[in-house]
Amino acid sequence: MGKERATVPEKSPDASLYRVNPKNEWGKGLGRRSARNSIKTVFFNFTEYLSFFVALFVIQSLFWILCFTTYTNIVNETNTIKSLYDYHIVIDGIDASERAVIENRLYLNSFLDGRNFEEYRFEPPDEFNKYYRLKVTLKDGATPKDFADYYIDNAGVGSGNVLIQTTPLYTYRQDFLHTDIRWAILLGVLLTVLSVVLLMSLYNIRINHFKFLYGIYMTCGAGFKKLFSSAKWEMMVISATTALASLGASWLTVSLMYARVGQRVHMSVRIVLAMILLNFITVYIAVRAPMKRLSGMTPVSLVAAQDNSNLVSSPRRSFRIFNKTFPYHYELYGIWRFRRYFAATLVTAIIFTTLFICGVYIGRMNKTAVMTSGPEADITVDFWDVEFYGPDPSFGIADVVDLMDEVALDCIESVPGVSHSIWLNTIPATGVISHILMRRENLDGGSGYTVNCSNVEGYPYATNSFEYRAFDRHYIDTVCSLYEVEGDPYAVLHDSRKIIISDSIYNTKRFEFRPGDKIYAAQLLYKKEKLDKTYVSEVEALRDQLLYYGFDYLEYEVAAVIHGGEASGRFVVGMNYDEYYRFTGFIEMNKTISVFLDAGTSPREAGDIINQIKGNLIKELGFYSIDFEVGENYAALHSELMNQRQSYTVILLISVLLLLLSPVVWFFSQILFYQKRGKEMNLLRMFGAGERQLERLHIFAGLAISALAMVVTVILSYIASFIVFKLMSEWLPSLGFAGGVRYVFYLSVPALLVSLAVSAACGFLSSYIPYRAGRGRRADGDLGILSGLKER
Amino acid sequence: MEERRVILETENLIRQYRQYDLVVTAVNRATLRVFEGEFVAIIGPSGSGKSTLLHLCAGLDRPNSGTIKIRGNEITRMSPDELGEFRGKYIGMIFQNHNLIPQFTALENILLPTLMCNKPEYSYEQNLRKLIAALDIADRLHHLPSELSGGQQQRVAIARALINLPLIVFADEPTGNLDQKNADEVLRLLLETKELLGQTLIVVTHDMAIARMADRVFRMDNGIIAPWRVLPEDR
Repeated sequence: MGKERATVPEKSPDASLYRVNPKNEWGKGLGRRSARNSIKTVFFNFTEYLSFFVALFVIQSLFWILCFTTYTNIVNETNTIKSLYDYHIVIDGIDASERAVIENRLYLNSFLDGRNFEEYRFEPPDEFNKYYRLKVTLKDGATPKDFADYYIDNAGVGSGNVLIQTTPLYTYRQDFLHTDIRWAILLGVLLTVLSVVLLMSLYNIRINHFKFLYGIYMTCGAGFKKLFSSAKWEMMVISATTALASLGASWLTVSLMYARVGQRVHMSVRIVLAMILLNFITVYIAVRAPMKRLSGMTPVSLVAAQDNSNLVSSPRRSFRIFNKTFPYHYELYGIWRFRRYFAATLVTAIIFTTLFICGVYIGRMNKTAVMTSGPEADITVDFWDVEFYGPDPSFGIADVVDLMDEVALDCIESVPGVSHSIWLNTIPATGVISHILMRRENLDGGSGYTVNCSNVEGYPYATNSFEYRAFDRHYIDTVCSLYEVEGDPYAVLHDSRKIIISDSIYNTKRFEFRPGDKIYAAQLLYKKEKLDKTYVSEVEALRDQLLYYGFDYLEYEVAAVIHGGEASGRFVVGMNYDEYYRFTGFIEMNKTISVFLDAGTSPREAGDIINQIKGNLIKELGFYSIDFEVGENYAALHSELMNQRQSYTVILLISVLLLLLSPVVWFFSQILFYQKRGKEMNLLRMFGAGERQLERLHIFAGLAISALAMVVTVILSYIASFIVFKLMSEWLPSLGFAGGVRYVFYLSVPALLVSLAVSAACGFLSSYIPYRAGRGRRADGDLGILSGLKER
Repeated sequence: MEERRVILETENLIRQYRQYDLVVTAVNRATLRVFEGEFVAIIGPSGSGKSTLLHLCAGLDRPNSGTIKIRGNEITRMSPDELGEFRGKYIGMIFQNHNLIPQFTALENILLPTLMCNKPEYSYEQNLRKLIAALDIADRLHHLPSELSGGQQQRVAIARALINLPLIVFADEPTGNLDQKNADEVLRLLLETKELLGQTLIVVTHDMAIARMADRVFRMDNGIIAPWRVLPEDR
């Protein structure tokens, strides 16, 4: 035994022989998997784990970029708001005696620790304000209600004139911060899911190619605990290594991004630690599931995968076309034989190019949202207690209203920076228990907002997802200047049977109205039963109303249709003032003016405009003792904050990083695949295949997979972009996430071209490069040995 | 007379495979009892289900129905994790084509089961010395499998199967790929270590010479197992 080998020692071998090669401590690593041993495993086999390094680097960069930008936006936005407002609430309409009472209370309480304010100051009446104004900075956690309860109501000074308004310093948390954080959380969750899916896919690819190895491990006693522990530590080591690199790279990128607009990047240590923890959790989840699945397989099925049979689709499973099996010779082409493998690789890799296209599309949507002023007014002017105390006794309330109609809008629109203003007389159909009936042809995907109804023949659909609105000439002028209007909208001014109607809900066209169409508007006659239910949707309420209430239906003719106006959850049915008043019985007419400012107005300019509007109104209407309040909706500030955010660049950056994951999947999967097929290639060489033949085989495979990748890219991109379109324009607005912007569905051509180029290049190169690399290695090898047929 | 203890017991074992529209019964109601220290050979034509039965008994595959008990432990009821641990501690498996991990050295391949069971080095060192000496692979320990001959590879595979001192060793055609000289050598080693370590040996083979040396022989045909008496004229 062994005598033919002179080198064999006759005595018992030296103990050092039994030690696993100290230069490669693989063995110990597998035995007691720890971070130290995993470090050795991962770095000694760096090329094997390279894809995981790249993937984790990209994933972590995505998270860091999201964190840095969100946190920086929060800090920058807070600073911007603080530079404009140093108080949380402003109390207006305080007369001199009320001021004395309030100030006394505030002074006495300013010595108490338990007070709910930090600072306060009174501003005297001036040319823009008739009353004192109290500006208060609240303590953390204190609410305007807490303050008002104690210092206004309990002090007995809450007269009708006193009005409490919150400033953006207080509402920022609700209005901006919550939105920011909600989006960041939503994006974070999506990225986490995506990261888990990517790592799982990569790990599944690895498992698929190393099934034999795992099969032997399991034969030798490895179970889930051992396999998972090993995989987990390896991934943790890679994750920890790339975390620092990605942190640095992301910080640099985001810094450059913000430096362009003269801002600094901010970060908190707590968030960095939370992100690292989240990353470890992601890795843990991503590795656990494939390992659990693997450990549930029988070792014998894994060991049997040594021959690549797990990747091959059997000819017996081939397509049958017109009862004939797919031509057999195609089975010789690798791309067809390994079709299941290629399909899986293709879809996994193309998902990331698709996400890139969707990302670019979302970026464009974000840009549209920032640029669109939206339907919300910048300033609201509310009039109260229209009373006449003027010198002419014959001048009645009706005359005052007429005067206001003429004067108020002029006062406002004469101020530079005001784009347009309108009297806002509107009430939801649900507010007056009404609905309209329409024909089948008026539906254009809006069936979700309608209920079947047989009350009027030929008008089978009822909806209450709209609001009645009063239109005057000025309003119609404004609408015509802003939107596309079909028909003659001015006809409603002198014909009470005519209406103006819009066709969109949540920015999507839902109805198909044409001038001349007839609709029936329902007016409540009686209630058969009292409904005390709470409804989750307007449609649900309408269903019950149709069952238990009686209605009278009035026929109206559509005079004009407003196409494509930004729309929230309701469309508009517009009438003239008389008809609106008669139909709705809504007596609060001409109480509110909505003022829209020019695009790009800064928050400071908006403040000046408000003062000028106030001054003009006091000058023109003060004589008639008309009380009014000019309220700011801070739309200009909102717009500035939106512009400060680097949302478009961030989304674009995230999209590009996602695109980088596609080559990772391609090359990781294909390199392992062609490594496994090395034996097959050498067998072909042994049977006489020339290098040119083999090269042609790989070029064909590369070209075929490239062409397929391009087709799949287009198909998946179209589907995904359409889902994004639906999500942004319908699904998210209905959940209260976003709204007020009309998006257009399209495929970004430049993004698609980039994706197609990446898919085609990766598809081809990931087939061809492994072949070229393998050919160099084979040149000095013995085919017999390499093919495994010959023993050394 | 000392009562012999049953180490392996199978009852009505059925293993079926679905191949497209066809259901193939590889093992059909196999009932088998093997005693401690016994050398059992399973013979039969190719495709008769011998290897499948061996894989089932070694816990490498799951039966469709029936039970397998090793020292009273019903391995068919064990979870994958429990079964993995059980395999590592009590079962040694030798495959026909060695199934050594190509990127690991011979020593790393041999030590694989100890590493999977988290065994400290001192607990297997003595056994490793014995095995290396007995199998005569001392000078090949740091070689990759591709640098070893078929016989050497099989010896490494045997060392891997025996390193954890398993109760029961399953060998699937252990000499199938070897020439006569190497085959005799491997068989001698298997029997030597069986005696040395007091193990039970179950071998699937085509080789009647091996079957003749076995304490008991079973023959499988179309998935059905039955006791077999090897006659001198059997080849």
